[in-house]
Amino acid sequence: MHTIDPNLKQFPTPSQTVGPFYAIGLDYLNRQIGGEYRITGKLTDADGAGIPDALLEVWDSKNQAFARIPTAADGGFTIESQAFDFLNVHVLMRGLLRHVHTRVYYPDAAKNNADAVLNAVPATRRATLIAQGSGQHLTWDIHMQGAAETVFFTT
Amino acid sequence: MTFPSLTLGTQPEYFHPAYGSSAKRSPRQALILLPQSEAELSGPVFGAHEVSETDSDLTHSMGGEAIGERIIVHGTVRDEQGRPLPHILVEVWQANATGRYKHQNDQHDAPLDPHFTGCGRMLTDAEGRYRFVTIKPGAYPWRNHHNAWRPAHIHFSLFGQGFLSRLVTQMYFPGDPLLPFDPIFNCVTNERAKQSMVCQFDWAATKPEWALGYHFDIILRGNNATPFEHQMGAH
Repeated sequence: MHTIDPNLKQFPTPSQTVGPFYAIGLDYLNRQIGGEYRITGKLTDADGAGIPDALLEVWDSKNQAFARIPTAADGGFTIESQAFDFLNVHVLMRGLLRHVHTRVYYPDAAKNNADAVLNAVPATRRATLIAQGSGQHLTWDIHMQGAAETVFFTT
Repeated sequence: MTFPSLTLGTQPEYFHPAYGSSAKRSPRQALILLPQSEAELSGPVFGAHEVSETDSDLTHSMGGEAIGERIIVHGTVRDEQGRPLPHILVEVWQANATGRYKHQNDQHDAPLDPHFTGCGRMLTDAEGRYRFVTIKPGAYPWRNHHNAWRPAHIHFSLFGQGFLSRLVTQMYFPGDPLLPFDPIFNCVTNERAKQSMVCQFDWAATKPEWALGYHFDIILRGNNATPFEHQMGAH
């Protein structure tokens, strides 16, 4: 029978890939945070090709709002959001045994220059975490690899 | 309050050469240590409106009954301290008894079952327990390497105490001869952590003349003694 040895440390269950067919189980919960801001972008692999079978999950802790957004056939995505300083983003896909964790910051130079997390990122890579544009229409790409590889976090 | 860091070898590395599609999709730059804050320690809360009673029975669909070996899968979801996690959203999906997914991109030459969609979900109860009834999934081929076959598995997706507790995993079956050959299952080097993805046959949960029972406990990252106030009630 199933027993847990109290003398052994219990590890969190290992992650496994979400695989190519996650839509069967997860699509019902596709949703946006909602709001007047649009962050559009593209998710790309090592060759710069769009990744069509990935899933973004976004957590806006300030507004306690969650989004689940599958990428389109060309790897494109849109996050509809309220005003934000930053959003936490998980990216899940076939090929990732474990989701990656990144952030997208609003392009507010004064705030961002004072942000401890951004300041802990090497200056040459910082821009990968900051959306471009101004006002309510922003762009932000996620590069899994390559010269402009997006910063991913460990916790 | 922060979550303990993960023990090396108990979770997969991003680049796992034996798993071909990780080559172009896994990050290669060093990960940046993110100090845990309320922004990650909090997370979405789901309630009863996300699930219905029938979502935990995968054996009936489109007015008929799915073909295959009926099984009961149940277990408890806990945090790292062993505390049960009540009202946790558990989402599952899987192939049918022949090893075919009801998905347009699955081209495996095996029949679809008109009465099996392979999709289920539920909330854990007040004691952190979940339970669903399904059909034992079949093994299926994939193109990772010569004569590659995935062992039978059920995909699980869970939301825990916070964004950092998020887990997507796969549950495997005991004694599956394909397990030693599967690069996805074997991506975890810590043997005890790896074996925790294999469910156990459960005689007590087996229902006479009806279905075999399997037990699968899940541990999510986190150890809050006191959940954030906004997480106290499902809404």
